[in-house]
Amino acid sequence: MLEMELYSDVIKLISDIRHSKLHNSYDIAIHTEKLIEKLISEGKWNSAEDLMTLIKLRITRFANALPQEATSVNIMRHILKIIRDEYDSGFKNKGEGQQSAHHLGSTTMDDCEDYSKVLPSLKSSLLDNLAEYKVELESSADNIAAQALEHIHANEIILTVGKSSTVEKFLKYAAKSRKFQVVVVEAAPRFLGHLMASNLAKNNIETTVIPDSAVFAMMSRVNKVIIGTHTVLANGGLRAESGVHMVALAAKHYSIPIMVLAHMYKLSPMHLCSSEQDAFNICASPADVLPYSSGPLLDKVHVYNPVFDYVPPELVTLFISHQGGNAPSYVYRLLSELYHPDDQEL
Amino acid sequence: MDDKGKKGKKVGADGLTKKERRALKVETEKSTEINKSSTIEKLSHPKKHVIPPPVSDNNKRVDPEQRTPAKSSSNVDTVKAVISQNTNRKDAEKSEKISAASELSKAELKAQRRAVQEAQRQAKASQKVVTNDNQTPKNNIRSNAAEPPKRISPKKDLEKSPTKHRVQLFHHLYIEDFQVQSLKKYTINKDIHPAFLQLGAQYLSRSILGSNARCLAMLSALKTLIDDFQTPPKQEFCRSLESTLKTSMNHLKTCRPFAVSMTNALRRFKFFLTQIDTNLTDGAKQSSLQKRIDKYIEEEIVIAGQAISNEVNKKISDNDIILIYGYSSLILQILIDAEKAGKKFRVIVLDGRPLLEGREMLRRLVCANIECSYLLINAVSFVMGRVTKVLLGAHALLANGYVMSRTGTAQVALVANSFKKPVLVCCETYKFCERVQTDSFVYNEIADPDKVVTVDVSEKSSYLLNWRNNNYLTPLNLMYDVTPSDFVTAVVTEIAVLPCTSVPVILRMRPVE
Amino acid sequence: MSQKLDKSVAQKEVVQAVVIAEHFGNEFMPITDDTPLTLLPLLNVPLLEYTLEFLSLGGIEETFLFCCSNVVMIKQHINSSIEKSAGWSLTMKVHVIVSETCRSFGDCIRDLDAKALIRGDFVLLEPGIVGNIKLLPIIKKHNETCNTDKGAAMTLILQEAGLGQRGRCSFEEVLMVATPNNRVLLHQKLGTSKKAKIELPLEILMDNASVNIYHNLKDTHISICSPNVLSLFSDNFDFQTKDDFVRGLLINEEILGSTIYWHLIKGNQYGAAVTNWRMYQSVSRDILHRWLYPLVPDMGISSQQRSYIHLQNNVYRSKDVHLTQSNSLIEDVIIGGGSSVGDKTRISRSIIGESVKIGDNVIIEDSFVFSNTVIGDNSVIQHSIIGQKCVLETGCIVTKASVIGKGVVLPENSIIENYLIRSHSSKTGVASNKLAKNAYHIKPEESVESDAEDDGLHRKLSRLYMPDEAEPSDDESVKSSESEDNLSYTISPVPDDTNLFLTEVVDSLTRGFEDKLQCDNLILEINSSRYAYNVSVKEVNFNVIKAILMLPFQLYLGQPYLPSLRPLLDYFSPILKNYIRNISAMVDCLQAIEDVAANNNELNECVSAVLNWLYNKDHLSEDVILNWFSGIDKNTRFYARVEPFTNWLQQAEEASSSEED
Repeated sequence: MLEMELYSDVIKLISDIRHSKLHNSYDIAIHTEKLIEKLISEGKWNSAEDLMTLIKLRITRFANALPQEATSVNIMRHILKIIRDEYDSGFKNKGEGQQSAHHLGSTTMDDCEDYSKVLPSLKSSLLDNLAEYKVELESSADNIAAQALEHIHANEIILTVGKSSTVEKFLKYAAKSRKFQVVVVEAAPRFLGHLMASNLAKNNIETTVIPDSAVFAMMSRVNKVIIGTHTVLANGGLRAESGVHMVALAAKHYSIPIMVLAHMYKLSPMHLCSSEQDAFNICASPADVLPYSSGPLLDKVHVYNPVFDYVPPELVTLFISHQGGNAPSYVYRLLSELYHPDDQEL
Repeated sequence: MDDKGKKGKKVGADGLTKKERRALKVETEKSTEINKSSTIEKLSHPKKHVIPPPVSDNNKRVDPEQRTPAKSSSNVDTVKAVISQNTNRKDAEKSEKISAASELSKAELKAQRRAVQEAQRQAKASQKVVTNDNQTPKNNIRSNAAEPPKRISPKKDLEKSPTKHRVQLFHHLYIEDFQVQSLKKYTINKDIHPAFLQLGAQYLSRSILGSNARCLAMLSALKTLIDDFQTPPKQEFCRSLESTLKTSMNHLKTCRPFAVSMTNALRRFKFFLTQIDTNLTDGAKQSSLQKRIDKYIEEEIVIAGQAISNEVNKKISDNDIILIYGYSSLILQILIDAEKAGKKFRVIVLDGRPLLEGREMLRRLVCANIECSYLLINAVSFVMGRVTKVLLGAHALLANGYVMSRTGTAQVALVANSFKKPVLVCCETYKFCERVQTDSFVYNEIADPDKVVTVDVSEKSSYLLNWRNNNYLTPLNLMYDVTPSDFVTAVVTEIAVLPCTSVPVILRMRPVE
Repeated sequence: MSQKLDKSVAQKEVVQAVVIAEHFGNEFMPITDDTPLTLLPLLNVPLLEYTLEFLSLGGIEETFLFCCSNVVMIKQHINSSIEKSAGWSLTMKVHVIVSETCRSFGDCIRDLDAKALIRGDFVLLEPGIVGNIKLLPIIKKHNETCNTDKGAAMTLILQEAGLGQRGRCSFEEVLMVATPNNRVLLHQKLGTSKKAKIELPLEILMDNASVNIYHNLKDTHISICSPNVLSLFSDNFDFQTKDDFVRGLLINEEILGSTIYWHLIKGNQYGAAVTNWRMYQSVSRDILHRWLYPLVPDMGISSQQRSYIHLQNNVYRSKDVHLTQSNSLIEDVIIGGGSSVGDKTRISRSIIGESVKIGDNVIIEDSFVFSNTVIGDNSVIQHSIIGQKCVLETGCIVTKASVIGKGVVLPENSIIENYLIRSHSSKTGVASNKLAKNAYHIKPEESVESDAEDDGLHRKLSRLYMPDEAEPSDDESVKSSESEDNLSYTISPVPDDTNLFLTEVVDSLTRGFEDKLQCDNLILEINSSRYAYNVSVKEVNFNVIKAILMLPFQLYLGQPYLPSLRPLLDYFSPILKNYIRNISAMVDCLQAIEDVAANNNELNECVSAVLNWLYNKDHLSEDVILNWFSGIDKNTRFYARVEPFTNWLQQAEEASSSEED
């Protein structure tokens, strides 16, 4: 009961994600944002510090339950940064007029670190900021798609892996004015590539579906690889769907540029230390790989079905976000703009 | 050019070939006479001839056998000429005609298409008859230039239907639409030995997979053929055998293109045929051939396999984790021998859709009591960190050292290379081939696209079940891919363990045929 | 009550599930002495959590948990889970229904019917279910089936499981015959039957255009039921288990008017029930190998918190486990929090609970060690289950499917093989040997009936699987089928006609004796029957004698055989005289005696007396008797019984022959 009182909203969110009521990262992002909005407007907090503590609790709880879902945690981290910024700017503005004698002597650094002062206008300014952020989130996919024409020329062959709604929008936007072909890798065992291919074909884009094993064979004729990802790591690497690493290696072999379309909330301050890192990857049910009809074989073999893959940053050419394109080596800078260094350890 | 109509002896006054006229006649008998005549009038307006639609009288006079091949070949020529004419002329008239042509009734289009198809078919069947009618082509070109508009539209339609659902890059590899090529339309030719008919059906339905298996199957069918062969009267054994063989092989080729192992084995067999002592009786020749085939199998496949197995087993140590891909009979033998020798190792089997041959490999390994893990190829990066060596089988080794193997092998080799794991390709020397290839496009094999679409494991059916309805969607099912030699650490053959680039040396060493 | 009804009409139908949380059996002794089956730890999480989380993920909104014993424990557990905001508690309400008087599954359902809590279609679960099935589409399909077939009572949910797969409990092997639209025609559980053949009633094939026969299925013990299932249970008091229900419904399809359908779960959906130790073992292994995704140990089942770190080779390690350099967790291992493992210990394919202290040099393989246990140095534990709070001193060897209950203290160097150990002497009077202060060995119950073999088989099949022993079911079934064949060979299958003839003769004779009819008339009757059934002379002789010998059983039940036979023999003497005329008839007679004696102990005892009587009445001659006697199997009791008579006969013969001389 204690726990429920403390953060019932986050628990509800975790439960929804586990029950598959929220599928893609966009939905999760919007829900998280709403959750924090509600917390800010209706929650019991007085100072920025209280609010930040509440959010940090939620981050810990969420990361404990669903360590692979970085979207929610990233958004909450970003909101923490917004709070810090608002607090700082609020005090700087007010500080002109209302600075007490006590504060005159102290440096601005102390003011920044101590968030416990009560700032009456904090709530409203936060809510304004969050409204802006919400608009940014909602239009993020469209903004990325609008850059399509800068990257796709006529008569290109573009390769993509599995299904990403961002990539779909991107390609559909480009298809309105350019003619090109798309090769979709089917991404077994979830076969989301099939859905992507049928969606693209409905928009009159020439699509070819190939199984995962044919990637190297097709790669020499491909002009570009455009993929989405699940998370972008702090070093510019990716945590993407299983199978993307081998696509990236094949592209590197033929010197084909790889463009990763990533929203800002996918950028995570996490680093990968080893391939066996705790909770980096998760193995799903082996029944997708070796079905139950295989009989006695099932008892005698180990079957693995990893969901994610790590792609090192040297294989990625370009990250495209709603603000524009960036090299992987620039990701660290983006991270420092998105999150405060103190929040990166959570 | 304009008075082609007048010259029409072979070609009717309306400028149509006999075939087309006949077809048109069928249409007119059913309906829309008036429409047709009016449109035909419109089209041949510049010729100033009124064309009576059914000109069957002319047809009867003309000898069909001689005419049609010439006309059909001329059709092709005329079409080509027409197309070149089209590109030259920029008349609005021309474009009008084209648009008028495209407004032709569907029935006419069908008829014309049918006619052209029939003509083409007959042309292929009796090419020799073409030479008889040298004069006709010229006339036909001139006379048939009147129908460029009509011809273009059926040609367009023709082009659309076969190129629908074809990946342009692999256009040269498509045989026919797979629905047509299915077993339902398997024609039985009475000239071919039933063993080969059966073999053809097995190849077509892909129940025999794998280069060793296909080669052995072919050789055993060949032995049956030799056994049952009776020299026709007044013919020589070897020659007649060779010609029978040729028809059988052509039949097999229509079912499925030959594997490199099969080509090499066949070449060697033909060499045996030339080498055979002509003084022997037919029976003795037969048994001699059979013995030589057996010896070939024994040497090139069985003993070679054992030698390769011995060689590779020296490299397998305890606590190894060996990665393999798909199904290879040679690799299976190697692993079973290693298990029998008492080594303790673990095998990771990777598998690729849509063939999923790895499951069969897995079953056999488990029966041999080898500890196995099983994954799909998308998990190759997940598992490659733990692997100690990679063993791959091959369909063929090309002269530039590239390895041709099942789709997906190149990828496994690539990832293994990036993780710095040794890759050993095991291949018997009889699969070495003089061909040179640098990519997987120029020479490959396209299999049934429906196999990509059917998903057996999940509960909901694939989203692509109706892919034929959508012209923009094409599933592609490639059989082979080519692994560059820099990914391969070494090739193990029965002669030696070689670097990939030494393949031409072996080729030179083999007996010249 | 009316308010409730209004509510349920106003809001949309809430999907309900019923879990019968009571396990009426003793397969899990002695662990189930103190813990109910629902709270049995499966990979260190109580079974109930799996069931509830499965229902909540499947889309159920209201669950009724039916308990008969240990109610307080269960309620406490549920409340604490709700406090910890377990995953299922957010989307599902759980009501505990208590009934102290129920003794079987059927009783529980009848009780439920009486309480009238179920409104529409509901999901029925037997105890100990784990799964990850999406139930809502199946419920919808069941609804549609009910709309087309008004009598559809239940949809069974089954999973594909090939032969030889360990998850397919050989005890519960299912043979199913169904129509193409999934209506069940025959549902047979083959496990306990020893026959190698299966009989399919012909009507199944005659009445339906096409049927599918399945032998590759595994029962998940989950079913979707229509509300009339409850009333069907109430109406038929002999339905004790769900299998009874299914069988009853299929046999009496016309009478009850209800049909059963089935559904095959596809893809990566999994469902299984822990009904005995073998299933417990295979379900543990499946969960460890992640077949039950998304219910995997490292993500916490309902706690929604990471409990373990998932490492290579399916090793799950909790965060605060103490391991040393030299020990190894080889493969398929779970170690709970707070545990510590000593030096040079090797653990493989085992489940270790929380706060377990394992000493040095220990080998644990294919075993389950529950929480708070201490395992001493140099122990070996293989294929066994060690309960909570046990203490195993140094050098213990526990192997071969032993089960050790809660709180047992095993002294040093004890060797336990295939035993059930409890910490105290039992109260129910089951025999137990005291091994040590806190260790009592429970003797398995001996059953008096002739299917002791069956029971043993049952136990063998339900205990833990050990790879070394050959599958007992296969061997035994082969042996038993052989023996059955042998038996049937000696008793050559009597053609129907002769059997009928025999019964007719018996009837005639019985009537004759009771009504004191004349023997001539009886002879006439027998002869006419003989022609009616077209029986040969040999058979007639044989059967008449047989009938006479069997008469006492008909007429004088319960009384000693010989005294009751005598008057019969006297009375039917003319018949005997009529039929035993020549040597072959005599041989038939003797054979009849042998035959009847083989089957009836009573005749066996007094066979000499009977033979004596027959001999005295000159129905049988010495030569024939002696000839026949030499042909009897010397090892039977029958032989022993006849021997004194024949010896006397021989002596008498010699005496008479010597006299004659």
